[in-house]
Amino acid sequence: MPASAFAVTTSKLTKEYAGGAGVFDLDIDIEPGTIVGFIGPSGSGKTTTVHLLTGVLASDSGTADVLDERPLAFSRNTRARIGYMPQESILYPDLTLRENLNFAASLYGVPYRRKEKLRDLIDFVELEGAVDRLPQDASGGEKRRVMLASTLIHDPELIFLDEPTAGVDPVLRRKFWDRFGDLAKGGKTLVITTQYVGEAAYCDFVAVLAEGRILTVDTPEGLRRQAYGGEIIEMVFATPPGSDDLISLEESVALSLARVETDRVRLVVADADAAIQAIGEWAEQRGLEVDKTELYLAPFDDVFVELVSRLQNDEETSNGP
Amino acid sequence: MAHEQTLSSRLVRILGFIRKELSSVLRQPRLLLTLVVGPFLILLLFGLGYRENPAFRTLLVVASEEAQLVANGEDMSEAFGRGIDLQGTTTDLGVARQRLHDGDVDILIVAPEEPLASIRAGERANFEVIHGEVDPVLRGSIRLLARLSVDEINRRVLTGVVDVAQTESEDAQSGVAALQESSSQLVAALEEGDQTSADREIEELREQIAVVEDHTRSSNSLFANVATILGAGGGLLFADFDEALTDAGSEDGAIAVAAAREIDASVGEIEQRLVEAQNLDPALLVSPFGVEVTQTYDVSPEPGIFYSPGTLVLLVQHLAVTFAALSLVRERQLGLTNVFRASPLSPGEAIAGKYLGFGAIALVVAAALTGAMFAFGMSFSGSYLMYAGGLGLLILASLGLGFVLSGVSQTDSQAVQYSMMVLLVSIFFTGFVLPLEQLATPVQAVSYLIPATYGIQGLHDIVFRGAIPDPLILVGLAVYAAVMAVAAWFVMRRDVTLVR
Repeated sequence: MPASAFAVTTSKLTKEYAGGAGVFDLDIDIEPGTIVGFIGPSGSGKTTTVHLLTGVLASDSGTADVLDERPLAFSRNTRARIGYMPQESILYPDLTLRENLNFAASLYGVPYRRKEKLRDLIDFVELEGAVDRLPQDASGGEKRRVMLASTLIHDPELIFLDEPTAGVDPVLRRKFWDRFGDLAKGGKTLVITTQYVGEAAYCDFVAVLAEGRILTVDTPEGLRRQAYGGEIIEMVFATPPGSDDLISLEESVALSLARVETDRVRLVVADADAAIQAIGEWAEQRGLEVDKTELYLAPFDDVFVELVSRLQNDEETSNGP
Repeated sequence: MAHEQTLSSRLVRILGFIRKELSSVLRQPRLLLTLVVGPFLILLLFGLGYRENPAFRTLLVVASEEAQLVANGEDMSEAFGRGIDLQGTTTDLGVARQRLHDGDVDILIVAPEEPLASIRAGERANFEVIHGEVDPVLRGSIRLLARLSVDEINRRVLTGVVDVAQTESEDAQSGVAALQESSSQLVAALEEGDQTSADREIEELREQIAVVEDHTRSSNSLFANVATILGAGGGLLFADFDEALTDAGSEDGAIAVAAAREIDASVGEIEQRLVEAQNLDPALLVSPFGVEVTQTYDVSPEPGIFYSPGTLVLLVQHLAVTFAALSLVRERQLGLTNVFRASPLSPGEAIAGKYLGFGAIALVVAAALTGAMFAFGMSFSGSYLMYAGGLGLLILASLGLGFVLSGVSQTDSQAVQYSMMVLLVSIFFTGFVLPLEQLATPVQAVSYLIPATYGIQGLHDIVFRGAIPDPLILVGLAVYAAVMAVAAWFVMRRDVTLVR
């Protein structure tokens, strides 16, 4: 375990490419045993961040400490504690998927008595039937699965996964995340980039990137709260409420309210538990019959769009005209 | 899991590269076919197809009837060399030129129209050789063969002259016998004091000497000249007889007897020389000197065999350079360098694995090609250990060169182009075709930038001469391999550890 409280810590980490792209003033601390997701659109700087943290790229300014070492000065022992899965499926075209996996094991000095380990990983990524194919005969998803297995083959402490689930079917994708969760529970630290915003739900912390900057780092629930200004409760009325009912509801318990359908409304509240109790009392006072009142978990796609829009507006406002 | 990087994990990484390179090569049958089976076929074709005969095969002689008396077509064809097929003799130069133009014949030999007239006029009678070759080597061969064939014709003419002289001298044989009898009788008459008989014998001797001198005039002159050139001196010295015969007729008995005995001894010498002259081989008289070439090493490989070690060196070098150059470029193109940078791999481990993996393949190919050379009849005079060591150094040096070339290549096709350039340079600058000594000294520096230069010289010494190669060759190749290995390490370091 690292001596520091963080597996990764960065300060003003910056890398700028010609044309203005890159990452800027990256500040993030990643605790050991957590899954941190970097979520953002294409070109937001996710891969550059991973490259800076794995020592593949040199930064222009700022610092990064990964397992208590600067990435550019990683010792060989430290490199062996890190797993890195690149964004592309980089495989030798003349080697079968199994041979590629074997080579990756050799690259990290995994001893030759590793058949069982290989078999377990092949089972995990569900490649039993495809492992003796050449990459040209494998699907994109199969290649990604081999890449993932190659990254985990040496049992690293800190794992950087650059879009590990791209091209993987939803069922297997879920299985991957379950495995990532198990690894985190076992004390491994995972830094995962993804374009699937919904996958943020599986992370302990999510860093939202846009245009090379971290807009926010929070738990998935914290992100929802940030996106909408509070928690969301969805109510379904037995009969459609009138406008005066909704005005009364908003004034009584909600920060804001929106009618979704004639009989269905969503309320943004500061505390969902307290609000649900208050809503019950309010309905009783008004003589309204409510079929359902429950916490509404907005899809992360919506959360992300809302959040990026809100944070960028805030930034523009703070920067002034 | 322990992540401590130990010697064992280093070995695992090196073995991983060896295994990966072997699998990659063995999984590319077309590449193997091109680089391994291809060389076998090239050696086979070269060994079976090479002919010592010149490229020109057919000859037509244009000669007047008078010229044909001097040298007929068959003589000329034979003189021109083995393997030349005489297409006949014609007197029509126009028809002959047309046949040359049409490609029916390769060479025309036009004999001088009136050779005797030219010679009598004090001019050399020139043969003209006409051909259509543009290849400078073939042109040189034709010039040389033309000179040699005219020399041969000259020799045959002279041999004929000598033969005539020998026939003439046979006619003098009976005259010499009579001379011998008369000279003996002269001595006897003078010793007995029979002056009358002595005077008669002196007269007879004068007449007989004139007859013999007449019959041996040409041969005497010829033999006298040959003897003078050879430093032996003297012909048959008939001129001395006049004085001796005068002394034999002296009134002083002692002088007369001494002169008679001298005449008798000279006649004996004439007979002896005449016999010698008749028994001499005319060809020997015309070409008294021969030549015998011997080598310090008892080996005379046929051209096909001689070029085999050089071919092997070029092919092994090409294979090693190509594999090494392509390997690093492909990894760079695939993006594997990022994976390497994030891993505990060191440049030394990667390059060692590649050296060993590709080196093993190149050694197997070299062994197979060596087997093929033996199958084609190559005899081996040197040390097998030295041979294997030399090939090992060649492979190391070639792989190093390939890795360095990969450092300046951006793409697969660039790497292949560089590799082909090295092969082309190797053909012309390494002593494979032309001896290095035929290159200007500054250009020879280029030769020593190519591993094959050391390899070809070294293998020729080991295989044919059974000798230990010049230490400079072995040391030079070892230093070359070491320098290239260091350069290859820097190239690998750039790929494996240096970040952008």
